[in-house]
Amino acid sequence: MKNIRFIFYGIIFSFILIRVEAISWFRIQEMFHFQSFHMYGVLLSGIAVAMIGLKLLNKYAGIETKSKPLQLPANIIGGISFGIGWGITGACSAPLYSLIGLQLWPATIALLGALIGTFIYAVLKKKLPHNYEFRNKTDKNTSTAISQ
Amino acid sequence: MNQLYDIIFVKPWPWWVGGPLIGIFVILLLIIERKQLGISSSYQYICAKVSPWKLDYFKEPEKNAWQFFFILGVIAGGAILSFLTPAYEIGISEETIVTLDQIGIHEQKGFAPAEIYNFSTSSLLVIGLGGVLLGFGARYANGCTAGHAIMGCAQLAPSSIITTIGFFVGGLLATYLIIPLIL
Repeated sequence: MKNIRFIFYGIIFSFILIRVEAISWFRIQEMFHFQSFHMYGVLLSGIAVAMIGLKLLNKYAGIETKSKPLQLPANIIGGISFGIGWGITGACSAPLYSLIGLQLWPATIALLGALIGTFIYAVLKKKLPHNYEFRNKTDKNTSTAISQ
Repeated sequence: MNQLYDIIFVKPWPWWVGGPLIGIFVILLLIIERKQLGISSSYQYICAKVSPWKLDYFKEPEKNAWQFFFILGVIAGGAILSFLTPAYEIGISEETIVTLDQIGIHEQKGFAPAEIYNFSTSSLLVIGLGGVLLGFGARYANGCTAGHAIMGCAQLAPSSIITTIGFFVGGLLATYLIIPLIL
């Protein structure tokens, strides 16, 4: 039960997301219609502060972070799929949980869908193109080209 | 006192309050817990715990256990705020109110429109399918808005920048092609 303290972090994170309206379907629509700077401001200022913090942590505390590996087909197709889900439900992963807490009960169906989507990915994982398969293919192509 | 309560709990925060707080949160989580912000691995954890099938993807769920407790907190945070903020004020632009009215979303209140977030079969189907795309995409892309768009872009990781562009392409497709179709 050493992980129980993370409930506290979750409450704080949820509080910030709700109060700045990052969980609002309307705000997400506003963002995708380019009608307000609000959500761009939230994302860009959040990224900027985190970026400066990461640089300082790295320089003065020696804390390094791991970047997610580049997997082009996965990043692109997965990203677009996630984006469509984000646009429809007006909530990404954390806001979906916040909405359930706010007793917007249809959000539970979206979460159920997300879990089904995760199952679909787990089953299909080996058949889906990820970066390394993509690279293998190009390697094969170049090697046949050379042997020819 | 009442004014302070309004500012903290009732009036929508401007972006320059919430955005930097998210950034500070990311850094504190890293300093105190040595954890990189991420949410969607919680799906992997929950599925691994309930899966009747043994799939490779569901091996070693415990490394994501902290995210499961984190999302329990996110749910709790929503529940707590629902009691602290009885009269919620919405802060979207006039322009968006007009646009949404034109496509059939007439009442802009709360966090989501009643036209989409309701219990009719068609709405549940739409939200459920949106959820499927959300969950599948997050796991296939190896992260969501938290892990890729915020944490990953702050690292200037190429994978995260490309995925974030993908998020926006998908979001624009949904906004301009799918939402008008389902209303």
